Amino acid sequence: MGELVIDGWLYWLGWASTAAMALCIVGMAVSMLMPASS
Amino acid sequence: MARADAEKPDRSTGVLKRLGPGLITGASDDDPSGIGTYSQAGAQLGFGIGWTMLLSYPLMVAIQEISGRIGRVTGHGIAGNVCRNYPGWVIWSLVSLLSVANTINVAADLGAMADAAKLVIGGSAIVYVVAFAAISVLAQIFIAYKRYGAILKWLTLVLFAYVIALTVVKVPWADALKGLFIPKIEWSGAFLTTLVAILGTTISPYLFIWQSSQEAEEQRINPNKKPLKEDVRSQERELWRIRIDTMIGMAFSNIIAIAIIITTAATLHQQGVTDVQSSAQAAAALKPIAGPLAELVFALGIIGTGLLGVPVLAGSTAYAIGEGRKWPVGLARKPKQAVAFYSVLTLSVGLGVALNFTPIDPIKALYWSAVINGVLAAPVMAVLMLLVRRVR
Repeated sequence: MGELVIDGWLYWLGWASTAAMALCIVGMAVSMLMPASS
Repeated sequence: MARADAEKPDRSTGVLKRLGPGLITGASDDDPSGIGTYSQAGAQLGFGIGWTMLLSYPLMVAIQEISGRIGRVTGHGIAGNVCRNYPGWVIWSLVSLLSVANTINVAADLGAMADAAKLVIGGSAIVYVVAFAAISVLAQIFIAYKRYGAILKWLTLVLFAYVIALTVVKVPWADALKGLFIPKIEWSGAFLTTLVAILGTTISPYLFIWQSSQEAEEQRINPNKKPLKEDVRSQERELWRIRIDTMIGMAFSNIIAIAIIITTAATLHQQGVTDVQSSAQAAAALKPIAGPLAELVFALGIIGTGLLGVPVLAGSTAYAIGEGRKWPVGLARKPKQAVAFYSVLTLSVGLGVALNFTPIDPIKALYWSAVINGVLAAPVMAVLMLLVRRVR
C-alpha cells in the first residue's frame, strides 16, 4: 500500500524537502540571534 | 504494485481539463501574504534572491504530490489519515498550530485585500475587510462545489496580473537572469530571514491539507472515482494526473512569484525603496516609480488572489479539524449535511475579520504566522513522510 502512495525518488525528494524546511527553522533561529550578536 | 492490468494512461490529451486541486493549490500559494513576502524579497535583496524560487520548485512539487496522492489513494485528507494512524495528541498538536497560523494568515490577507481596494477606489478599509470575508464564506457555503471549483480555476488567471505588471516596468534582463540562475548566499540576518520567509511561504502546511482534501473531495462528488487502494486499475492514470496537475500548479505559482520578485527588484530595489512590509505597500510604492498602471494591476492582483487564498486557508482549517474529529466534511456537502465543518470555516474567517478590528498589527502578526508555519511545516512533513509508509 505504501508503494502505491509513493515511489523511490519521490520519497527521497519528500524527505529532502522536509530536511530543507527543518534547516529553515534553524536558519530562522540563527537570523533572529544574528542582530543581537553582531 | 500490480500494474499489469492497469489502464494505459492517456498522457497526450485532456491535460488542461484535468487540472484541478494542484493548480488551485499552487495559485493559492500566491495569496496576498505571499505576494507581500515576494515583494519584500525583491525590494530588499534585488534580483539576487530569485534563484530561491527555482530551488523551492522540486521541493514543493514533491511534498504537494505526496499530499495529493494520500488523498487520492485513501479517500481521506492528511488529517483524516493522521488521526487513523497516530495517537490523538499528534493530530491535535498539528491542527491547533495550523488553525492559529491559518487564522492569522486569513486576517493578514483580508487586511491586504482591503488596503488594495482602498488604494484603487478609496473608502473604508474595514468595510472591505467585512465584504471580502462575507464573499469568501458565502461563496463556499452556497455555491455548488463543481461551480465553485470552476470559479476558483478561473480566479487563478488573475495571477497573470503580475506578468502584466512585469511587462510595464523596465527590467535589466541580464541581471535578472543572473539572479535567477546563479545562486548567491549572503550571510546576513536579512538574507536568511528572507530565505526562510520564502521557503515558509512556498511550502506551507495549509497547502498540503488542501490538496489532499480536494483529492478526497473529488471522489465524493464523482461516483466513478474510488480511493485508489480499492481501484488498482486506475492508479497509473490517476497518479500521473496528480503529478502533472501538481507540476503545472507549482510551476505557475513560482513563475508568478519570480515575476513579482523581478518587478519589485527592477523598480523598488533599484530606487532604494527596500522597506516594503505588505503587498499593498508594494503596490503603492510602485506608482511613482513604474506608473499608475503597475500600481493598479498589482492592487487588483492582490484582491483576486485574496479571493482565492482566503477560502483555501479557511477551508484547510475546516478540513483539518473536521477530519480530525471524523465529522462529515467537504465543500461538496450541503451546509445542513456538514454543519460543524462549515461552522469552523466561517469561524476561521470570522476570527480573521476580528483580528483586523484589534490593535494587533496584521503585518507583525503575519510574521509570527510565518514563524508558526515554518515551525509547523517540518513536523507536518515528517509525519506525512512516515504516514506514506504505514497508510493501510
